[in-house]
Amino acid sequence: MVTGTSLAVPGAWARRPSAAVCTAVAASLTALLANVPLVYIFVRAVEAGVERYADLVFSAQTWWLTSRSLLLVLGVLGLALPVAVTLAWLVTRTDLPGRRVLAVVAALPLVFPSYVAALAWVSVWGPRGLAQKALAPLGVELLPAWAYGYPGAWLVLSLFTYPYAYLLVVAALRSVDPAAEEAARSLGKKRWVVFFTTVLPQLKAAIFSGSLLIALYTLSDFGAVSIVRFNTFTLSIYNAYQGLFDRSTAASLATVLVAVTIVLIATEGWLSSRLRPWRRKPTRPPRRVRLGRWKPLALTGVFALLTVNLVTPLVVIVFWAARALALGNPVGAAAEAAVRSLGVAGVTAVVAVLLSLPVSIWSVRGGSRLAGLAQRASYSGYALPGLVIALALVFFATRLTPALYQTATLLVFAYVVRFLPEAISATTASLRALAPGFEEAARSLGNGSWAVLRTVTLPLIRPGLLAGGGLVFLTTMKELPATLILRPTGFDTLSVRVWTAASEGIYSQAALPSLILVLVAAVPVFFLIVRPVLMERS
Amino acid sequence: MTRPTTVLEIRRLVVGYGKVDAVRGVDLTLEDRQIAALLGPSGCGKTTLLRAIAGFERPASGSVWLSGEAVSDNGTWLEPERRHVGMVFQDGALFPHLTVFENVIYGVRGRPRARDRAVEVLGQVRLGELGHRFPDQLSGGQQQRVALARALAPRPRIILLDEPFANLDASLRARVRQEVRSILESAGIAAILVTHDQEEALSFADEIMVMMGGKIRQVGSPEEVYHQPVSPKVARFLGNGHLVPCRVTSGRFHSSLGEATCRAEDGPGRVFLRPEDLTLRRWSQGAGAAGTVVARRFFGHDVLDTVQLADGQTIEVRSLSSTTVPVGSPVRLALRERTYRVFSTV
Repeated sequence: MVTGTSLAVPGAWARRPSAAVCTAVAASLTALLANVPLVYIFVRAVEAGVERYADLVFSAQTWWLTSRSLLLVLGVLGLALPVAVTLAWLVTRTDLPGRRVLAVVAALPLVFPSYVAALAWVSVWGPRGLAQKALAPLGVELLPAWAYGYPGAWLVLSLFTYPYAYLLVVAALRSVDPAAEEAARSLGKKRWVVFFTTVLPQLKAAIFSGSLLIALYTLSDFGAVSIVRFNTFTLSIYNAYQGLFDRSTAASLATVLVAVTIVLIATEGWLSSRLRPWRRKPTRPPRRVRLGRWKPLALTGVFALLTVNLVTPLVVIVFWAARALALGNPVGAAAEAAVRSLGVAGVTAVVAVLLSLPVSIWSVRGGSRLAGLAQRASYSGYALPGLVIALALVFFATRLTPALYQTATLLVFAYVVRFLPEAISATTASLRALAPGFEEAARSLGNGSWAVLRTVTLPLIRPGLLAGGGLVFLTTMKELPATLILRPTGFDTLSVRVWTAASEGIYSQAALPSLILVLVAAVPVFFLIVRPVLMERS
Repeated sequence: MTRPTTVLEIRRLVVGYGKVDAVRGVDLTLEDRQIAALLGPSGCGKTTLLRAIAGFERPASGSVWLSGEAVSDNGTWLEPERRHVGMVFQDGALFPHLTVFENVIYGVRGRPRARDRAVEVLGQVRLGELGHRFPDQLSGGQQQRVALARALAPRPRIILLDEPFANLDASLRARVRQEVRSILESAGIAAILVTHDQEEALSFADEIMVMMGGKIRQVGSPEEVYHQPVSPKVARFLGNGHLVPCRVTSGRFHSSLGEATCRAEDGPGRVFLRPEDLTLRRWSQGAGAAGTVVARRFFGHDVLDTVQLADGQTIEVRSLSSTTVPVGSPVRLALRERTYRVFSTV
């Protein structure tokens, strides 16, 4: 029998579909499922008639919301990008004291979900917030209301989202060859001219993709704008859905939001496609710029920033949590919420990673046009704010699958659609990094495609899968709008508890779940986002 | 032309890296149009010295003068952009986001007739038709020629080349080297090439400055440093050979491998014999140290035989490849006549 095995193999395989076919089928199904919300939101929007849809879309309200949302995006980019580039430059290219620690710390505001950041923000800077209480002895009875509205949304979103661009710029700065800067200087250019003519152009790609991340975050954010009460698309859609039960309006606005998002993504794609890709290894570490007399100013700036967007929110949350515990607030509810959050986030991460496998494998190894299409289609959630996905699924479920309405399954489905792109990126990247030589060697050693997948491919890309799963876990746990809309009755997660308590103004009830969220988020933020960039080379 | 003017003068230059001094007191001068090579093993401080000339390293002490102007001296410090020093880096360091033409014009932008100048230097490096390309669309050799054109465009006082051929294919290296050399000659500009490759330095430069342990050990023509090294260390660094004990009597040294002319005081000493200083003779030809060929390496243009002497030590002999002596055959060694350098025994 031993000698017969090699002969038996083809027969055995003939009875089992090849891994390639199964992968293609699974990937296609994933791509189709991922597009259910996108398709259905448009179906639902035009259901009431094309004319009514056109009326809603081309209404004054739509223009008003679009301009408000875009103004917010522009404002946030206008503040977050300079902050990100300056910080990145300070920690990579200057002799700023403590720059290695500061490099990590400057990325840490990522641990705050937007609603937690906004909550901490208004509880400190609100008209009667902690800052006012501290200033009360000086006769300050009321702070100006700039913690709310546009200024509030602008500052909160800028100060808490700049790390997305910052991390990309740090990585880009490290890959810029300092020899080119020296060449420019020996050609007679001053240092700041060199920065603007040779360094900054090489950071364009990082700045573009950082801008897109920040813009999408801002546009789809619901938590912060609802807490600082600044009406953007998301908040208006939510109110339309929640308050008026006017679902056609909500659906129509949602399609406009999707369109704006797609325009942003396309713009970034167009800008980036005009850049020439290049990759160079720097020949040597850069000579650090001596800050000299600017050093105190730079340090003060960095510390002031981190006081506002890291230390203050942490202190505030801990302060409120301690007070809640001291007052004997029940811990049980927060603990239950934590268990639910961890549970759905964990399930979502596993499902997303499993679905990312066929999509990535098919597109990287298969390489056909169809495979590429399936992969791009699976990125649909990237362009869909969580709120839009949730609305689409509410419509879809109430109409077509009532059994799923208000179940955790539907919630997980929404999460998976929303965050599948993160898992696919990670899986695709690790597959690309894997030289096909390994798989070919395994094939030539007599393994079938399934065996190669199981014994070679999967073990080798496991770190990438874990990283992708970790990211999905993190973002799912922080997710708010889809959770608010789709959760089964009574299914309070941490994010829901924080938001509900915050919107009722009961900060002490929001504190404990906020603290748990931040602490749990800190682990994946540090290991998956901050460390890979900042500690790659030490 | 009147007498050559000094382009570069360095006096007692010390450059420190943290606690270690990379350059430990260097004196050096370079005349106009002179092409020199700074040759030394890696870590000897040669790149640091070059970067101090360009203004990318601040010396701890000493001075750097360019065309009679102090650019780095006690209390004087000229930023790199004001030194008029052209740099060519190891990988070219071309700006990846700019085309070849934009790279070349970068240093003269805003000057009158900048475009003409860029076209002119691109023509000088014979890349006139590739101006619209991006650096990553060029071969390694072309990239280095663009880097040279970019450095030449603002008419610098001097060109500094930091291991510019190190990452080129071996087959390409010699050709690019010759091209760069002739471009520099026709541009009539002084240049210093930093390299750790002896062959590269010897074939590129009119003057070799051998640097070891942070100091310049010898300055001279390629022939001089190769055949008249100042120390066994310098001799070894410039190429293989054997240090053989000898005794000098009235202008000739006597050793176990033969005798020849030298410049040294009478007494004991050591002489450094290179493989090409020795010749192989048939055993039957009588005189000369006896040995056996134990190995043979063929290089095409020449051949390197390893000969085991009677006392067991082995020595390498280089001959033209037309001479054939089978491995295993007994031979005798003879010494070519030339003036050797004999080192003292201490």
